[in-house]
Amino acid sequence: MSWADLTPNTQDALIFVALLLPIGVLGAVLLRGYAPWSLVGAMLGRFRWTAAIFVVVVAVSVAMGVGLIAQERGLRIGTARAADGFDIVVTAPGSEVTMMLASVYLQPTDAPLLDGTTYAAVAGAAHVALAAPLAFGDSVGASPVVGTTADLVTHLAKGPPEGHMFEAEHEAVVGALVPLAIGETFEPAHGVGDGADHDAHDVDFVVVGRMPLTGTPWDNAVVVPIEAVWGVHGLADGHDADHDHAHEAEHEHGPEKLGPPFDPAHFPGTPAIVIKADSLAASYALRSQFTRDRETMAFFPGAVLSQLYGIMGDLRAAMSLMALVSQALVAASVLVGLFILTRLFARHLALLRALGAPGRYLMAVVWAFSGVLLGAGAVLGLGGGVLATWGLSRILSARTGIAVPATFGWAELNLVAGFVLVAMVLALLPAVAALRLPVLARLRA
Amino acid sequence: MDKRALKLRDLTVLSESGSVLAAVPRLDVAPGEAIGLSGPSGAGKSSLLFALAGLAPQMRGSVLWGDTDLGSLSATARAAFRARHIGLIFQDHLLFEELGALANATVVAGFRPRAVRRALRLEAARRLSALSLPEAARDVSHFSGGERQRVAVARALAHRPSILLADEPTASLDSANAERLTDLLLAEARDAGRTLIVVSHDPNLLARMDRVLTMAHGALVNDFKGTSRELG
Repeated sequence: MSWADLTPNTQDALIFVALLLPIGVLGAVLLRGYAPWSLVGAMLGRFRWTAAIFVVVVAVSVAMGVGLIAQERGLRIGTARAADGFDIVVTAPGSEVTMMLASVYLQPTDAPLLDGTTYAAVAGAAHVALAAPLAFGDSVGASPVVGTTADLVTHLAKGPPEGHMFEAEHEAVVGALVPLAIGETFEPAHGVGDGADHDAHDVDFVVVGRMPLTGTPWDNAVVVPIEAVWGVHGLADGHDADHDHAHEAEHEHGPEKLGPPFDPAHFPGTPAIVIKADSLAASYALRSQFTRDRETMAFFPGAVLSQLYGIMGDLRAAMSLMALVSQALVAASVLVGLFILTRLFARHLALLRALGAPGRYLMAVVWAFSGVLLGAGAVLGLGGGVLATWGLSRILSARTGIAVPATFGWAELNLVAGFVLVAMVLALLPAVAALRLPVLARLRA
Repeated sequence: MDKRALKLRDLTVLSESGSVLAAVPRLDVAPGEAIGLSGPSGAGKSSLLFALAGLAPQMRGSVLWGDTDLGSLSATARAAFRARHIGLIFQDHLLFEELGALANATVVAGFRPRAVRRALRLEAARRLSALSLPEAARDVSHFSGGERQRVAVARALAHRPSILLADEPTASLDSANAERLTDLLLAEARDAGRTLIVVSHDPNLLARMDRVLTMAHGALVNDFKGTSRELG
């Protein structure tokens, strides 16, 4: 069986063991036959504050490394998951990244609109299972108001919402994290953020449903029928009024006309259409079909994210290098710290030598002392890194709506194991230096 | 050959910088003899004492304990010799403050073979009890000067050395404790047959030694034998 045949978990576990094994071997060679721990405990007690500061420095360094790796991975997983529900997005030609941020991550942007004919072409294309237009621009508090169709809500929520789906123009379904209860009413503001105009729309909406948690920015969104967004902005509602009135006359007191099909002549425009194809092959065909010069642009949000990760990969490499340099600096600081600590109990080491302790025992005491400090720092740092990642993930999730998972993986464990290995090997230097202490001078100091 | 017998031949003890700290052309000490080393400060007494333990930074000539010449041994071999044969007592005790009396007295157990650790601990506990230090677990930081020095003595004796070297052991003690410690050291020399060499300014202690060597400017200037005499 070759290395490539092993599962990634097995490979990581083997790397972890390989990183820790030299420490075990080193410890076994140095400590074999000795019992230095009561002495190590006494030294830790004697220099407890110095030791505590040393442990904190190591812990902070480890926590930063662990947090950086875990957070970066969490962001990558979270953003990828958020784009899962969006097979293809069709927009006017422009920046795929900008339009992906607008449609998937609901970041406000000014984008040219696709007209009704284009929408009809997209919706009527073969193998299109879902074609949902989007409309942005309003907000309720910190939540964007998104106009779309009931089908897209059902698709993103993977089922019907709690309560019920909007069935009238002034009904809304809210994302899981929106602080509005079913039955509550709200008046949307025009625009988003601090510049939003709260008096622009004199229309009240009522919340009739709540989507389950999706781990996407749509958890923070207030979703209304796209006709409502068009309506409050004084635009046509996408349907032929005469035909609709005739339709209503047929079904007296029946529901308003919402969702597709839309009448191209009365379609005010949409910045983006979210498409779900009925097969993967069809997705590629549809992307080609609707990537037309000066007309439309179709893209896979997942592919755009991959491109972004590719660009960010270079950044990650630079950050990794910086992280390595900083870890090397920390390791150098650790080494200096260990030399200083060794100096602090130089007299006791000289005493041990005077009492007949072999050189290996002195090395074992210094190395074990260093090991306790580094081990404690590494474990605390690991815990601190996990806590920091968890806290940062919650903050990021709350701010972006993207469920950033705070996971703890082999990468973090291996980073810590690598750091401990380097530090424990470096700890041999002060241990060796302890052998060179002038015994008599130290005893008389 | 009896490790308690000491022979110095053309011994010169040097500092790290190479200056002469003590020079003894010839000295013989019989097994079980109790020797006092006296002289003014800076005379080279402690330097000679530590050279006898193989702790001098540099030395020339021979320090023969039985047939073992410390001058010809490596630092590791000298440490091993000390661990087996020499008990050291220091002026300021040199204890591990965070450890209890028993842990201090058995601090050498950490590097001794597992098989002898138990015996070493039993001996140290017996010594502490005999020295009226029953609170073996209490941190020595709470002990008086006399108690601390007794812990140091228990540590020096726990591995049953054949040679006992003490540097100003009564210097930090009151007269009662100094007297008690002197009794103890002499008992170890006379009853157990250990060779005892003590550096001291304490006339009461020196007066009770079998032999007193006086040093000045790094050289032995007088060698008195007898247990009751005037120092001069």
